[in-house]
Amino acid sequence: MIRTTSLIATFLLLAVSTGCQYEKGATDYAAARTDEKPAETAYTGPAKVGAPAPNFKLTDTDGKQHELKTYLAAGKTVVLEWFNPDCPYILKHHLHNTTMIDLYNETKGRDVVWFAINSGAPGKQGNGLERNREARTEYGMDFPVLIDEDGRVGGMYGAKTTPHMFVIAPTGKLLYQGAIDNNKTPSTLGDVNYVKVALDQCLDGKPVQINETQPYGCSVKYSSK
Amino acid sequence: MRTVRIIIPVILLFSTLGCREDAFVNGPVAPSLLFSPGPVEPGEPFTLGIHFAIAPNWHLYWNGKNDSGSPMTFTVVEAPPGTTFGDAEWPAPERIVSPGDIVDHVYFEETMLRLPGLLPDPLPAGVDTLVFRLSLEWVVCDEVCEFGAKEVVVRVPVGTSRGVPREAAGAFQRLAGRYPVPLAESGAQVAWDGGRMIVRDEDASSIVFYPAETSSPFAPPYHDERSEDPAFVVPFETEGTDVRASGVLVWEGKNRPPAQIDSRP
Repeated sequence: MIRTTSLIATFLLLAVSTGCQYEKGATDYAAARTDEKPAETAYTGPAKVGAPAPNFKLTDTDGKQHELKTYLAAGKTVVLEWFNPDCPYILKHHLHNTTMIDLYNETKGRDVVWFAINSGAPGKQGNGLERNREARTEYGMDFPVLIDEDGRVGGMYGAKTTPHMFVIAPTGKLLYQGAIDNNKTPSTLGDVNYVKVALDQCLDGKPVQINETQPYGCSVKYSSK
Repeated sequence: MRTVRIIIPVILLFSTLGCREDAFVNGPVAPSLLFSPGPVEPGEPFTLGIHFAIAPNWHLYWNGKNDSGSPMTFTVVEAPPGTTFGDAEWPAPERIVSPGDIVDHVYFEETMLRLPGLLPDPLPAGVDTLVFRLSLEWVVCDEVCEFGAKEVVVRVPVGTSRGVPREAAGAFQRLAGRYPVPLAESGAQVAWDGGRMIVRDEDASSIVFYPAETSSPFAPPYHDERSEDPAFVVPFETEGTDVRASGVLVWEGKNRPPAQIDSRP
């Protein structure tokens, strides 16, 4: 009896701790249900806030494969950052400032997984395994850079810029998409980091208030084909 | 003699091309600060031209709605004390669509922001040359994107327009037709039908709408050829007083200045 009760209690605690929420006009998705399974690839167009995030499987610069649903099933909140190591806006947040690394470090130990994704086509700026390996070292990135040369995953998410940020709840629902912060220039940081706000709210079990902003950055260098 | 006649034009051609290449030796954008031709007298209005020469195939970004990039920025670092400035005027852009359905509004080859100002009256004592210095930043893209920054300066002798370089007058003249005029001056009529903005104009079939950042989302505009009066229709995605059509109307292929539009139902 005691064992059953402690199992239920553990389950309930787990359910509460992974309860990132999405707020759409403070109504429909007021609480993401933790009994929902992570989203499968029921993809019908660019990812939409409040809808299931499209599943993907990509390989990182060390040759390791990562599949979204594996992380969601493990109760992780997932941050996606579209990436091009040579784009001036990526330099703003990875070289001249440490916006991404700082936020990633802040969320360590809070069941957050961060992936940079490069959807640049071969021959385009910032493309190539070697360049992205170098950039990981140069920028001190502890998180993986996933290679999406054919742009399929970029297309599934409707990623337009580098960076273009997405936050996905453990339930698989897309909680936030847009800019990293509120200053679109290539040289000055904003005073509101939207991803930090979304993550804090999500990890505190609160609804994400600002769930969509206009991303800014270089265009994702997709293949012309 | 005939050989000389051939060689000289060839040399001239190459030297001209060489000059164009030299302009971009420091990167794909060569900015400069120009002063509008005209008298330089106390209390008189003037215009600074923040000019950007752009290398072939590269582009700079308009300050309206774009999926990527960001517009050029400027800061006045130095101007005669007491000088006041108005809002910068941006010329109408061109639209490009990149793979991934990324829609941007940009400038190719050259562009210039016109910055209107008013000189103080009296001018600072003992000054015979006015100095204007601006700090500029931009992102320029082709297949790759680069960040650029530079300080530009123009020195203008007080009293007359002497000293204004010929290229300044040329740039102001060359780009004059690209700055939007108020809608009322364009001759076009705007009406609303629910969430649809209808622009009636004899050249309606050539109109293109470039939205400002503040403009509401809209579906692809279309030319209504069946209408009794030729019309250009912008169907907004919502209806009601929150809808705002803000931006620039351009008559493609017509010798008409663009029109600034800021309209609500």
